[in-house]
Amino acid sequence: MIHAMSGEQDMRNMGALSDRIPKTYWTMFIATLAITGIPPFAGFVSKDGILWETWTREGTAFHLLWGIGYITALMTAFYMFRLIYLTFYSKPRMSHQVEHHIHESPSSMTVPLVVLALCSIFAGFLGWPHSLGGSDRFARFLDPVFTGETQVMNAEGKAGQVAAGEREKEHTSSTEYLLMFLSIGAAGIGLIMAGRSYSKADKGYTEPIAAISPPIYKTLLNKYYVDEGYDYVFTGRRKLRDVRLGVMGLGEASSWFDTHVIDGAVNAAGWITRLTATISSWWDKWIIDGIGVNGPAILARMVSYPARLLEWGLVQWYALVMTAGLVGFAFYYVYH
Amino acid sequence: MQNHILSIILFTPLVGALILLFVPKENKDAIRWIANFFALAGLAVSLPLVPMFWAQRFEPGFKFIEGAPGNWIPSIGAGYVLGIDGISFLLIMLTTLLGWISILSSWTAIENRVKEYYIWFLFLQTGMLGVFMALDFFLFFVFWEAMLVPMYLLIGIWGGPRKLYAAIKFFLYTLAGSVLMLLGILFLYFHHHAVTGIYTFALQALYDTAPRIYSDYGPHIATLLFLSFFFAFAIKVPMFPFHTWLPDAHVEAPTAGSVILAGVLLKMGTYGFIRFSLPFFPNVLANPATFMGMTVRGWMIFLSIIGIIYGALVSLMQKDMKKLVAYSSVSHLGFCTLGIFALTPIGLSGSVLQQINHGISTGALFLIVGILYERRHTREIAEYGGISNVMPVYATITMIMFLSSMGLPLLNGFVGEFTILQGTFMENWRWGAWAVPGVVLAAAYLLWLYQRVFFGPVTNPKNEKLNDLTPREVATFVPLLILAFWIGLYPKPFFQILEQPSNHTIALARPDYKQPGSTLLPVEGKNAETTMQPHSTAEVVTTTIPAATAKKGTN
Repeated sequence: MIHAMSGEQDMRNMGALSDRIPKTYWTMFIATLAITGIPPFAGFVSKDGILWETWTREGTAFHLLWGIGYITALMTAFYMFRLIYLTFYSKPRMSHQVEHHIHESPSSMTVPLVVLALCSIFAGFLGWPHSLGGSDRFARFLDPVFTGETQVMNAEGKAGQVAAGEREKEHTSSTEYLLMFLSIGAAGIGLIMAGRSYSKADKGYTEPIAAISPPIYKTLLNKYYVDEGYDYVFTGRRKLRDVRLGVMGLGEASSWFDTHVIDGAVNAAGWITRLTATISSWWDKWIIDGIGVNGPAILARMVSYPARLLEWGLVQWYALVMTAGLVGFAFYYVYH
Repeated sequence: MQNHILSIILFTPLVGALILLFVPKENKDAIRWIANFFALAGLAVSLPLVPMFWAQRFEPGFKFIEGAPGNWIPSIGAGYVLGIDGISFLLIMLTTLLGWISILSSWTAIENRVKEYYIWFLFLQTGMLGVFMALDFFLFFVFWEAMLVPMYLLIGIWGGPRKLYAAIKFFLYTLAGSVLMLLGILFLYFHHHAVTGIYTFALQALYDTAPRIYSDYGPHIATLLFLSFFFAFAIKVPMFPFHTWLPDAHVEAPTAGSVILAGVLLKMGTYGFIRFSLPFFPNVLANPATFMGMTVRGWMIFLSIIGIIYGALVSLMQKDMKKLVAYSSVSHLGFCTLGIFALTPIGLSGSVLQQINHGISTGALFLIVGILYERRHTREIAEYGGISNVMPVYATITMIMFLSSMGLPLLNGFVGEFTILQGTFMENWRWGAWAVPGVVLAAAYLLWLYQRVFFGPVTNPKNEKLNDLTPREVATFVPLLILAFWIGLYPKPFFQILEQPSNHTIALARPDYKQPGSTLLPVEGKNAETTMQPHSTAEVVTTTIPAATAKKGTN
């Protein structure tokens, strides 16, 4: 159908397709009959089997479960026939361009459809129930796998088994037929409700649930807002200011923590090592070597300055001064 | 007559490095051929070990022992002693395989200083193999330190833009841990002398005396000693919060360096935990005394779980592909340490298998990133998109490796993670439950990465003409793909190899441990109750399961 509608998936923009794509229509119709549980199609057998087995179990909880199953069956019938009405019957609601292009699918698509439709018609006979004259062959299909369990059940004792058997006998026939009837009734009610609501749906039609309660309609239209919930928890599309919420926010926070705190601590350790090394090297150069070692040297040099004015180490000069002194003394004695 | 196969495996790469010294450096292709020949030869000589080891996989003790205690430097009691068990056997096979793959993958990636590159790489290979083979603590430490230098040079010379920062950080960080370990080794050495009057570094002798430190010196000294080894190994693994050297080193290293770094070097940390920390300090691990509300073992588990989730979260946020893979290693190695400190044979087997798996998957992931980098010279995720259109073979291999890394059933990662979680759940279901989000997040960051890089239309015109893989590049992936499927489909041989060493290590680490009944096999009658009971380290669970049944559980 999507193929025929040039990629359109919205049923609200379809309608009146049954004559345009007949093969698709017939196979789809059969499938709908099967899944809504109308006899003798496959869905009836399996659905009825499940409901019957649930009902016959001991305990109120199982009757409640049966109720849930029954209501679900009713809803299935309603939404499937809603689909049939909105797409194949009612009024055409697509654009002209799309309407012009509607075409039946090639056999590569229709042949599988036919095969599956045949299965939905006949597969049910594999497990046709006893009460309708069948052999319920399918129920024993997995027996070889569960032999172990069967033995355990045997070990539970004969009494229980006999009781169960009697209970079953007592219920069979009348109750089973009644439940079957109710089950078919559910399909029928769904069909009628869908027909009443959608058989004349034209452009801009209103959903009955939207007329009854807009909030419920909105909640359902938005799929219970699960996608929006995901935006808060997983996708990170929701933000609190600049911070993403949920897992992605956690990831961002961890990433920030890793770069700034953990690696920051590592780099800080490196930085502190370099800082202390720099300080040590300064201390070593200016204090230990400067004041401690070179300091006394400088001091000695300063203190010795006056001495160095006299003592400059040229032997010839000393000799000259000595000679000058001697000459001086000589003159002194000579002229005295 | 001793079997010298371990020495042959150990020194084949070194012989290659020595021969390369005599090849003129202008002769690049000759250097490449020789290096690749010796890398392949290194793998080839290790292959005969497989059937030889397989034949004696259930036998107790170390196998293929070479040398004797104290035969190397008799004055200090250091010996050239090699020997392997199932754990080191698998790690050795992983090393020889990844060594060959790394060298093969460097053919076009390395263009300058080709000769030095291959020499250091082959040297590194010998260093790593030595770590896994050494049964003498002195010899172990020599190899442990010897492998630091080539890795430092590989990152520092052939690395990316911040190579010097990364290389120095890697070196100093690891060295700081090694120094603490050296002090620990010396303590064990002198303690052994005090007890027996013999100076020796022989591992098997220290196994006997080391657990006595707890009673000889008291729990405080023993715990400090445990910590001195812990820091060395935790930095190497790396465990949170000692992991920040890893993203820098992995990102800046050349592709082959990253493969070896992630594939083998990290496992030296976990190997250290298994080989030394567990058997040396059973009493420290069993000590109920707490620090800040947690026992020593509790802290190990806690840091592992933090690493798993935190690493995955940080990985999720990375914009650089290589950094993403680097942080995923933190997460995966968290699983490995969790499996180790769960102190169950199953958890330990799972941990070792997961280490092998991580070597396979993450090794492949780094090759994958390297292939894109070689073509486009960028690792920014935003630069890519729609690559599956231009490089279909590459995209397929990448998908398989991503799935293997995130632990999809039928591939190797699943088996490892599952076994670790099984072993952890048996000890404490809360530990296992906390680790599980890591599996989900792994799928998130890897699939999201895949979506951004490979799916959609080609948005960047520079990516339109990328070439698909060359036969040489495909060849680097083939063995990894085979192993990924093999371990995923039929891990039994691997678990058989790990069964004896795992049971033995746990027996040393937890002398009171009795294997609870297998949770995989149906347990009859009364035993079913004991299986379900959680039991703490302190209490001895009395099960009536015969040893044979208990043994089956590890298979």
